[in-house]
Amino acid sequence: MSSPLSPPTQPAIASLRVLIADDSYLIREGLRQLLALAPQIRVVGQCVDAPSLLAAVDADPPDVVITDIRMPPTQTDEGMQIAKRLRQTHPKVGVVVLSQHESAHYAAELLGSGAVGRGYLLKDRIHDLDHLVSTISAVAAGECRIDARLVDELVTRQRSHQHSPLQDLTPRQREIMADVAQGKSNLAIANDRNLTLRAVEKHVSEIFGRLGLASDETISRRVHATLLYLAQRER
Amino acid sequence: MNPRLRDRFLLGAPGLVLAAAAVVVVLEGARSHQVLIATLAGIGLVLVWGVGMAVRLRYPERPLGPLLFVLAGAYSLQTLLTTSNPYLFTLARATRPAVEVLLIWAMLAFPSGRLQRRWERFVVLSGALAVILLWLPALMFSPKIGLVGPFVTCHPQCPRNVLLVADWPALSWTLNTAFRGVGVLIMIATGALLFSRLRHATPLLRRAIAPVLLASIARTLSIAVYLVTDAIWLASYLTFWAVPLAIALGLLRGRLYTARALQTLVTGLRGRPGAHALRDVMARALADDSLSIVYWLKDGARWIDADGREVATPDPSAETGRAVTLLRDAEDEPVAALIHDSALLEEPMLLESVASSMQMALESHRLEAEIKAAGARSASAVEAERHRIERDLHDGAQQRLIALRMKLSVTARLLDKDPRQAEAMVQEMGTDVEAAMVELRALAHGIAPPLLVERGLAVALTEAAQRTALPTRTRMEEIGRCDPAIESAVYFCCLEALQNAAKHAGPNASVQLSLDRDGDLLRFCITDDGVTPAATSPLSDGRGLANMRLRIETVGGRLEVQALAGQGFRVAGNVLARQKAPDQYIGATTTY
Repeated sequence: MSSPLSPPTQPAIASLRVLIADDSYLIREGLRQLLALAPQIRVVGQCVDAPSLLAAVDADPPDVVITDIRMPPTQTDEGMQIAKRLRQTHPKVGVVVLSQHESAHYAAELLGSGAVGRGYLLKDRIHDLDHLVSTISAVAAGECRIDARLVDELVTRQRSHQHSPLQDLTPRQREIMADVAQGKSNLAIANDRNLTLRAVEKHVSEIFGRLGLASDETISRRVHATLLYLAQRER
Repeated sequence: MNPRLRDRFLLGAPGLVLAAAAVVVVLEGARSHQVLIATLAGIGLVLVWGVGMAVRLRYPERPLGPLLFVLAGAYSLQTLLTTSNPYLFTLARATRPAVEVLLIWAMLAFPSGRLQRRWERFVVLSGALAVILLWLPALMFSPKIGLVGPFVTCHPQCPRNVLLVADWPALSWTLNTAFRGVGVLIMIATGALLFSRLRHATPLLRRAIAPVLLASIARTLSIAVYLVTDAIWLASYLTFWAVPLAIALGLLRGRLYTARALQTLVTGLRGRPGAHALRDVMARALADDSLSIVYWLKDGARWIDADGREVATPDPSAETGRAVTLLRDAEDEPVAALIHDSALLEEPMLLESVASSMQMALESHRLEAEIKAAGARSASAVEAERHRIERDLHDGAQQRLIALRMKLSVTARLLDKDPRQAEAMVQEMGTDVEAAMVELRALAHGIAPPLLVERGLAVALTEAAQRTALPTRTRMEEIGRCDPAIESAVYFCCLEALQNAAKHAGPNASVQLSLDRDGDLLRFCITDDGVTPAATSPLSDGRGLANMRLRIETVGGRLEVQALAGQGFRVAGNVLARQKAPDQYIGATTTY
């Protein structure tokens, strides 16, 4: 699955500086090898746990941090804590959290402290270089990206519920809602789906009306709202 | 002489002597109606003493028996009213109301003989005070004994009042009237108290109290009328007899009720009720809906409920109105505890007989609850094991496959640009796949080691010993095969002990591993002679030890861990594991 770089991102000439954190050597090494193939990305360091990552960010802030969600010392949700912490200490550093949980709960929680410059990727999809690079670039540009497969699953699960307002949406509207939940802008959606910008805008306002969500101008806020909506109904 | 018979004789003789003395005294008194009076007094005495004796024999711990003896004594004094000796006559006259006070005491304190409530004590005390402060002073100031009563047929030619201090008839009259008034109030209060006890009593107590209440109402009426009108009634005798009779009847009814409760219980037990049904049967028999049963877990030294869940130590002080009765087995070990309405404490006989007839059923339910508790623990052990497997898979094979997939992406992109590099990547991925295979095999081995499954404990442990870092001597007896769960528990426990030794005993240590069988008892022991520095000793490594212990205890075994005097460390355990017949395990191995 390949998606083009989001339109707001300028073609990267200056390379993005990326810091990798994962307690598994295999994953760190795989990411390094993979990202070496992307000219616009430069891996500036690798860390094995939360404290060393925070220290490395303090020493030389990168553009984006890619971090495993589960790392030493507690092996629970270090990645989430790091994202929250960096929001305070280094608001300009983007964070991509890698997770093996296909849970909207974590994704919504990640955006809870602000969706700007945050990404949530499922770990078994990070081999898709284009997807990975597009996520890193979008996050570096202050956008928000949620793994498409996670969103698709949430929407499917949602629809299966009886009385779900999602059942009132047309298939096209559901696709667009999934796009919104992934963090795409109206323009990006229009490009991907071969629609006019006006058509997308119309769909989006209708979807938000149906779901009873306040349609918001900023993309990061509407991602959070949609995701929260999906996560709430998930339980 | 039969000791039982002797006891009865010793207990009964004084009563008979008293009765005989009373009859003789009355007959000697040479007054009118002497035969009738002697007969009535004698019957009354024999009745009170006899019931006192029955209570004393049946319930030696109750003060009710001695109380009735004292009552009989006080009553017998009243026969002296017929004498012409002024001292004896005055003694009898002065103690007359004491008989009523004792009677009230006996009625209110029935069936135990102890006054339980504050009001009851207050009424009896008031009676005693009225006698001392009103009745005796009234006597001191009156030359004639004003109050007539049963046995006094000498009026007005009665013997001299030896208590006379001064002749102030007005004062005496006032005191006497006050005494009568107080007396009537006390009798009314007694009736009211008995009535309220009846309302709040347990069903058993209610059956016992009802006759006493009736008798006391009759007595109260007759005494009240007597106090007010001075009338001499036969009713006074009859109601006096009614009290011991009612007490006897109450006790009998209580015993009948107990017998019926036990019958309910035994009938209920016939259906072999489950733990919850058993509670219901007991609750019905004891007429206490709030009854609950908890069982004592010997090994874990804790209390569990019928479902095996741990509960707080039964504590009667935790809640008012509750009481705890502990049941013990033949070795005086606790079996179970009944937590019940504290009203049942007034019926220790019922509680005890119910409890002892439930003993067997309770013991079997205790075992059941124990098994459930062990099941819960082994379920949590299984849960822990699943978590470990999930962690192993997550940290191992899963990460490896994700990394492998990334390398595939890299390789795919390198195919055109840099074929040589791509080829090197393919080689690398081959190695990675092999590593993933080894890891998965090891994981599977950790769940069910093939050698253990196919060849049993001795072979698998010998091989495990060869693989450890420290030189390990093994001493394996032929132990045959046993239950796979037990084999697995012992195997992993030994493995953990070997790993602990390798980790903590130091590079120069050696280890000895032994396995043998004593009948159905499978024993194993791992000893090392290494240094055991306190900080890194396996004793401080609580988790490893807890794991080992849990594994063994889950299959019903025991584990002992100790640092040896001097140096070294020892882990020893045993499990009850019946040896399987060879054909059983040959059949079993082919299924794996």
